[in-house]
Amino acid sequence: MSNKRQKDADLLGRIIDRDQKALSELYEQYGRLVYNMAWHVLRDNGSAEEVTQDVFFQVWRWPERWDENRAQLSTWLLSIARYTAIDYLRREQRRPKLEPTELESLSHRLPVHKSADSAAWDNSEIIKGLIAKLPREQRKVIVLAYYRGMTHEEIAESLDLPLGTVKSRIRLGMKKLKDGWLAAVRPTEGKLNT
Amino acid sequence: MANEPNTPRAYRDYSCEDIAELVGAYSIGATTPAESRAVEAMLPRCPDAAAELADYLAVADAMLHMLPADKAPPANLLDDLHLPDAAPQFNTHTHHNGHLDEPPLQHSQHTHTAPQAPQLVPMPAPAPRPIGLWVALAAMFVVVLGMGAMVFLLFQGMQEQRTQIADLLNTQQDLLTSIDDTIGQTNDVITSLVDASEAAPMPLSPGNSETFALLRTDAAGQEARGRVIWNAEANVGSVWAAGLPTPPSGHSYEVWLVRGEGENLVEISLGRFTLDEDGQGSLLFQSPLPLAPTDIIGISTEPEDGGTEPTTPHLVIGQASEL
Repeated sequence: MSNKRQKDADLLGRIIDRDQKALSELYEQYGRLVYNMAWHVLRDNGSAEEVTQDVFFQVWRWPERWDENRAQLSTWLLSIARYTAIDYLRREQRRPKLEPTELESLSHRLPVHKSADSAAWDNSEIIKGLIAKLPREQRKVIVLAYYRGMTHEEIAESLDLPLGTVKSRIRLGMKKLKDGWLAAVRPTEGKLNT
Repeated sequence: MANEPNTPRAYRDYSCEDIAELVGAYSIGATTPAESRAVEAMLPRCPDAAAELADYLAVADAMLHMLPADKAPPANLLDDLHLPDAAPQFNTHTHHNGHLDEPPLQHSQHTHTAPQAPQLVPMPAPAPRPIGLWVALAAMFVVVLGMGAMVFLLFQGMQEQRTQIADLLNTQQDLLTSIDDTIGQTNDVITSLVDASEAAPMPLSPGNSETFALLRTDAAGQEARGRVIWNAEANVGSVWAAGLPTPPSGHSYEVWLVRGEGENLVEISLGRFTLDEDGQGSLLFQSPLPLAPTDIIGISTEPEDGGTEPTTPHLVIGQASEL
């Protein structure tokens, strides 16, 4: 187990033992990542703060759910943050204003804050490159689905496109990402462990 | 795919080709609830699609780390969080001198002055008492009464707070007791597994067994989860599940080994289990076939007199590909 992963495991172990200070340390290390994920889904500071609190509350309640053999801690936290933010969005039944330029440029944003394991961020650089190469219309629908939690039907309605067109774009776009991803990581299997 | 765009389809109407076309969208949450259910229900029967999904999920995981982290959250964001089983906090400022266990006031804060006995000396006809004295006495009486009321209310408030603290401590004690019970029951489960393994030598220790998780499907609640421990040498395994809903009367949970697809699909029952009072269940099983990496283990709710294949969607599923 890498040194970083061992430290993360120790931190979660202390949280399991009800060490509140450990939760604060976790927030110091990963709060920024979680907050930014929530913000990019919700586009609102207050809502992002609520979701961030919710995420760390969930970690406090169920720290044993992190399986260190399946995913890095940062991946686990970001996954919780994403679906918690999307649930929040659905609950509030509101959609942040669609800003096509911002959405399309999402994958081109400047260097990611590299605070977690470098392997995860190296993999994200691969994905960013692959997404950047997607045709614009495929990239847009994938971003809407992934970072806004929108389904095929909701995307079709928002963009005023036929449902079949949206499904096709997502399917083809994701297949390109998957094929490109496998081609990029297969020679270095060790990087795949995110 | 057939039946576009809005006609709802039963999940069994989906072929493995349909599922293979949906797994990419499923991995990023783009499928509708009905499509998601279809994917989850049919995945055990479509191992190729299941393998593709694993690749798509790896891509989705990588996408998590794509975003810039240029916004700083508040440093004290967690200060307002009330964490369960944290020590209760309470305000001591309202108390008399800041100590909760301080006994109530032991004495009143006023003193009485006994009226002086009349002097036994002959006096001329007594002069009438001045009206001011009565007023002063009345005022003193009111003050004394008021202060007494205040003392009483303060004492009562302190008693109520004592009661609340006692209740909080009792609740905390109950929680600790229930945690102890849960630990005890978990130990019982482990003990029973060990006992079973000793009765018919089926070692399921980390040294000679592999583990893979059972993940909840859309048909299950948020808490549903499971785990399979498998010993390939002995061809035995155990299934543990938690967070499953109470099955309807006359039903129990059945564990399935799913292999192949289409016409070659085989679903074999590995046994049944019921839930304990904590919503957990486990099953030790001897598989008629050695588990292959493409096999799926799933759990569904089935009637007691059920047939030879599942009649309801799997609530948790997992692939033995991690073996």
